[in-house]
Amino acid sequence: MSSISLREITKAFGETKVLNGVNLDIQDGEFITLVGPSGCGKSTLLRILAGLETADGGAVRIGDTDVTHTRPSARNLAMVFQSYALYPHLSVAQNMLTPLLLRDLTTAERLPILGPLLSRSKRRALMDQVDSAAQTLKITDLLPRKPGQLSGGQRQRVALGRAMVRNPVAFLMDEPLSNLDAALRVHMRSELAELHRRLKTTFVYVTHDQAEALTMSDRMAVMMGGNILQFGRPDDIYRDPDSLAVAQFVGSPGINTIPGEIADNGQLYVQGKRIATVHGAARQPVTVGIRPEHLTISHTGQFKGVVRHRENLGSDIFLHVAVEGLTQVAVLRASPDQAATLGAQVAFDMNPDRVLVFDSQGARIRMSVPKMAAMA
Amino acid sequence: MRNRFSTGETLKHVVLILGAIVVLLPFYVMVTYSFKSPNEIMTNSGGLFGAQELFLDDYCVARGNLAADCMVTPWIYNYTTAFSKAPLLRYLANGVFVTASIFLIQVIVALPCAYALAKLRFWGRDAVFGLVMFCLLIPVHAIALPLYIMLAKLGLTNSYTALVIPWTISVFGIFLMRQFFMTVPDDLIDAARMDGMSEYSIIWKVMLPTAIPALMAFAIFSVVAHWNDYFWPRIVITGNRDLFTPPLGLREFKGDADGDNFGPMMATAVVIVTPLIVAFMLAQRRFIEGITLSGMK
Amino acid sequence: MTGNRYAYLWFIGPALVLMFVILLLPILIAAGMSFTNYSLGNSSADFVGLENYEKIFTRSTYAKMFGATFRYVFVVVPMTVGLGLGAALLINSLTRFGDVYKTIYFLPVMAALIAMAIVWEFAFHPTIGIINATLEYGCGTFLESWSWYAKGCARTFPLWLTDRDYAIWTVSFIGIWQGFGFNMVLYLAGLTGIPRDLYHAAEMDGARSGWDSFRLVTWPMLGPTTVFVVTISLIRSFQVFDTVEAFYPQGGGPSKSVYVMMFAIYEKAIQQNLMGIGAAITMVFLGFVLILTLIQRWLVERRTHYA
Repeated sequence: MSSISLREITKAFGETKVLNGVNLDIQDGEFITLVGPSGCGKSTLLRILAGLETADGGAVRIGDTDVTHTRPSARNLAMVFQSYALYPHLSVAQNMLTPLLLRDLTTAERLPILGPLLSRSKRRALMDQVDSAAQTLKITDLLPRKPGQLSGGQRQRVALGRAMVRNPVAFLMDEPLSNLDAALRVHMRSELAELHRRLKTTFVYVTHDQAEALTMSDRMAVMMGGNILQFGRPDDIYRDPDSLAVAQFVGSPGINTIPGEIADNGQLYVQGKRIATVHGAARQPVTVGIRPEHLTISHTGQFKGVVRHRENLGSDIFLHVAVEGLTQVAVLRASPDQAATLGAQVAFDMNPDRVLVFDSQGARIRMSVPKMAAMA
Repeated sequence: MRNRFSTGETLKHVVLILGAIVVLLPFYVMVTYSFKSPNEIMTNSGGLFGAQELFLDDYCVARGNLAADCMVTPWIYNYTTAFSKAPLLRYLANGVFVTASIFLIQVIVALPCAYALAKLRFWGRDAVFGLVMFCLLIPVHAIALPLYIMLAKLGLTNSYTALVIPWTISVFGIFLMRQFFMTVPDDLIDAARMDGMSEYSIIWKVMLPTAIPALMAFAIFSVVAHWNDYFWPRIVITGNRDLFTPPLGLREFKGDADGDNFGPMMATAVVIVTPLIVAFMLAQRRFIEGITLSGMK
Repeated sequence: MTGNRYAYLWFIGPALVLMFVILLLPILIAAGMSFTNYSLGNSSADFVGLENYEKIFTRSTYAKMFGATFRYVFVVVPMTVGLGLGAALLINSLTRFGDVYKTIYFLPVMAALIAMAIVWEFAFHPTIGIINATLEYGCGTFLESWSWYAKGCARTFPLWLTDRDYAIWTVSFIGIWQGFGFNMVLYLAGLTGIPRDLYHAAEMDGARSGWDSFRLVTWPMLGPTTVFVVTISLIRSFQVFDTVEAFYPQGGGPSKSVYVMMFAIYEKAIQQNLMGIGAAITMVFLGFVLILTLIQRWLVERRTHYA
């Protein structure tokens, strides 16, 4: 049982800095997601953890051991690659057997022809391990096939199987679902989560898809520009982001950002309308973030606009509303029965409890919102 | 990996440099000998480029000139002799003409066939492709003998025709271009048809431009093979020096080389080998891509 | 489709005609002729049945021909393939200067073999050649502890091309020198086609040494390249002619020790106008090539993966 910790990891490729002193502590058995736009350093961080890249500075610890300079093969981690990286010339069974052979057999026992004779019983035991992993993943009938004869989803499972078969300290996954079609991707999310619950092993999962991060992980680390901006439970990250960048990255459709200002007395104004009170904040221009589901249609709403576009998702309809005086349209969630038609006038309110305020640098200004009387 | 000059890396360089020395040895011999006087060649002296001391050209004296007028600088002597003793320029021109003709005809024959095999649907297409695949097995050199007899019966030996004809059909070219055309989207051809192009102009105005990379590869393969070819010209060109290609010219030179002619002969070799090497240096990436493309199936 | 329904006939017509006339018809002619004693200039020829083939498989000249050809092929093919692979692996693993070696090793492929053969003949010349001259520098040093070397110093170093014990190996050496760069380039291309992720996967799976990942990833992934490289090297080395003709315009070397098949065809048919026997050798040659290529096809189809 071991936790993983990354300390002050730095990495540069030539002149480009990819990681600027990243710290990350992963507890045993956690499902951690590293999420961020492409180029944010998440894959590099994972590969440094795996040992496939060397960090320029910092330390990697697994349990009580410093593995910063340990070869990947000696770290006892398993990795699922975006391309699956199955050995195309080996059958599924042989693919899954490979990590066991390389670890558990001596060099002599791995010799061609002679090796199998020397280690017959050992190999049979290893094959049993493969079989049980295959059963867990329901790929027993694929065992004799070659990767070329499998569909994308099946290859994905085999790659998982190869990782699973030897009980590693942790599973590292580099965008494992990005080569699957949309429906299968959604399905695999729940399967991976289920697999994690069953194996109770640490998962470190890299993705650019915030939905995957939100749906699967125990904790997620949002990365941008070589830094971890925020690390926490998906709920907290969604509801209580530390910065505008995180708020904008997480959630789909994205959060609405509206310019506003904090007046002398801590009152928050948007378009001249008082929304909430921010205690202890100085007078300054701010950006107000509010998620589509926290804008509610009401006849008496403070804000008015014209519906420019309806995004019908069946269960919900997102209305894109052009509000006078705002350059960006506001997106608000409506249930199908209350959704207005295109071109109609709508009025809506902001849920003051859910308003997120950011300063001009994009940092969060926390506020304790006093219960307010219903706004006129 | 961090340490660029680790022991392993150094060891690899040592091995590779030793290999490079062996590979470059004949090129070194060829170039230095082409600069040296006969005496230097015989005694293995003179360093890289020879001492370039004047020496007496016996042939010049034999023609009745004064010995003093017949002193020559070795490298100038070697190269001028290369061009004057045999019509080397003529050989080079023949080489260019034959190589270019072969390539042009190969393209004119192969391209439409490759297009038809890749993009048109007609009765017997699979059979034709099967035939192409079978013909890929036949090395033309191996059937040189019956080809020679056919040409002899037609009275065509000792002609440019004889040098070019066996190479007019390149099944390899058909195969290569067909594989390439398979990757061209049908939509492109359909769009051209919608624009009112005939099948014929589709080949030359749509397919040819898209196929330039593959065509380059094929060109390289074809030119290298036929500029350097020795076997076939050796068989069909007997005696008529006006038709000699560079390799034949060099071979003839060797046939009557005596001690004095080693230098000029090496100069001739340099002249024949240089064009492709220079072309290779200039367009190295293309060359290697070409060879690779033509090699991989 | 309108008027151009038969356009394809114009497209494949010329190619088809040429294929028949230039590639298939000659095989038939050679096959027919191999049963006769035809020679150019004679108005007629006699049918001699299998006599030509019988000669090929019984007479000592042809035994020498097969001996020389197979010796050449079985030295040159493994060496060009091995050196090609070795050079490709080394160059591929370098952090820099790889391109320089690639260029150098590829030069012999570009150079006209006939020209380089003449140069090599100089280099191997027993008295003025650079090779024996260089070997003599080594005399008196530790190299003399090698008995072969000591003998060379005491008397003379080998005559190389004119010594029947050395001739075929010397010619083979030139074949290797000329051919391995080509295989190296094919292998380099094959190597770039191997996904890097596979090596990473191998490391994660516990491959501890370069040998482990070579066996697990590199070698199997190069399988199709190897099959191709071996076949093409086989066919090319079966066709060796330029060097042999340049060194031994008559007779195929000392005691016919370098009497390879292409030279035999040339000598019998072109020099001696014995078309029947030349045609028979041609047919045997084609048989070899056909078998080799069919083996290649079978191997390639057997191990295709990743559709």
